[in-house]
Amino acid sequence: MNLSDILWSLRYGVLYTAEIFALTLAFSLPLGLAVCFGRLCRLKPVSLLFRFYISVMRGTPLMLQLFVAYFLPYYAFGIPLKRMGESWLFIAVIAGFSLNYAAYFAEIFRGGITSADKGQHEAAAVLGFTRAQTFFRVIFPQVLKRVTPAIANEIITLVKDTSLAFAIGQAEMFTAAKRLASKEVSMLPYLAAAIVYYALCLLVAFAASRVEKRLSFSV
Amino acid sequence: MAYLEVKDLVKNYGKTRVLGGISLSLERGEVLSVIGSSGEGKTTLLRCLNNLEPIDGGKIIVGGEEIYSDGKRRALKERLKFGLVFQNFNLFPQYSALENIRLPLFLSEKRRLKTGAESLLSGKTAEETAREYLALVGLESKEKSFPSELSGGQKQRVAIARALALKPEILCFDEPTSALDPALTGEVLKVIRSLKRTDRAMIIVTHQMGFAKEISDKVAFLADGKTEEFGAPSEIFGSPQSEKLKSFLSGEKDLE
Ligand SMILES: Nc1ncnc2c1ncn2[C@@H]1O[C@H](COP(=O)(O)OP(=O)(O)OP(=O)(O)O)[C@@H](O)[C@H]1O
Ligand SMILES: [Mg+2]
Repeated sequence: MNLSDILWSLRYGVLYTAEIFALTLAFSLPLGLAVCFGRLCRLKPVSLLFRFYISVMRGTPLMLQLFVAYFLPYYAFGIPLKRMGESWLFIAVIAGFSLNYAAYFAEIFRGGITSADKGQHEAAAVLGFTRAQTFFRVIFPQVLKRVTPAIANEIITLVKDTSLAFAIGQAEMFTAAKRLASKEVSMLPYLAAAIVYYALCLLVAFAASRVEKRLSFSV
Repeated sequence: MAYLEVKDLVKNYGKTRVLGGISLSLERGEVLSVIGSSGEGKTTLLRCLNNLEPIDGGKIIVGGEEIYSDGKRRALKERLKFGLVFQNFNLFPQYSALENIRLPLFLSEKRRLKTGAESLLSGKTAEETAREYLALVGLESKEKSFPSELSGGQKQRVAIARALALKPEILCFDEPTSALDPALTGEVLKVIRSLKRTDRAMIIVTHQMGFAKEISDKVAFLADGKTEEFGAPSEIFGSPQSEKLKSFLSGEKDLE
């Protein structure tokens, strides 16, 4: 088998990896912003709750969190996993990843929001902006600019972290590569997987630099 | 009763009393200069007028209507009777010069339409109107420039146009030229001079006594959180009464 054959036979794994990656991003970025708001909430109990959430998510291994997400229905509610349906595994993977990454994104957003210049809030206030207008029209674009490098970093980590889904049996690219490697008794499938991960990361880095260019103003 | 009346305004930061009884009055079309040493509360006064700080006592009355008394917050529409130009501009860095003016204008206009208030645009689009204000401060050629591409004086002129576009009845300036090179202050002062109009009052905090003398109808001298002296420029500069004002003026003269 040559490299292109191998890449071809990994295609379903690649698809799963791409799906996990894209769905996790789609859920965890907005969720991260929401968690960040919770963390910045003026009501002490709310802020503490989110602080606790973030600290648990960042303080325990992602792989363990995936296990918890997957087995939760059984251990918490006594529902046999078979009854959860065919796609439960995939749903648990997405939920686990999204909840975990939301915590990291929340901290990055928080850094960006709290470092925003007070004068910007005040200028918006005297110009009659509402709180929502101030946030979305004035503060958030500046936060975005400031956090893009850190977010890109995190997204690149996510590309590689998708392989952790292997641990609870989701047949993503790494699982497929491992299977193929033992069947063919060859390292090539691993090389092929590495190439795909690397290409995905390059893509993310490229997208990030495009975004940074779009946000060309200096804050 | 004058158009703007401030009576015994009190403002504390924590336990420190920063303003302990500011009183002044201003008619439409008049310009008031606020002078005083550093740390006497000039910026704080403007911040209270513009509702950036809650007040701890006294009254602010505009057009006979008490809009802010004893720390009670007032409605948003009242805030827009005032406009504020900041010492350090506070332009929005992500928007072009034109957009810095257009966006607040557009949002205000939307709100005005909803509440049935008078339009700010007189039939034009927000963009056209923003462009007119940019021309008014002599920057029509810079509409696409971002704040980071403008000089300090140009930034301040955009900030003035931005405040002006919302047609505030009382436009406040907090040391509008103190963050600028001496070479750039002239262009900004020229713009401010040109804004003197019968239907708009202006309050200018400044350390430039020459400018204050020339442009003002009234001058307030703040000391120890109080209006130590308040009157026409000829009185304040010509025949200062209190020792504090006398020594302040002679100090400022040494600087010039
Ligand atoms: N947010 C704040 N918290 C506590 N104290 C403050 C705050 N803002 C201002 N002060 C204090 O209030 C006093 C008045 O400050 P303010 O900025 O109004 O003075 P100013 O007359 O504008 O001075 P300058 O000419 O230097 O601009 C100062 O003693 C200052 O230390
Ligand atoms: Mg000041």
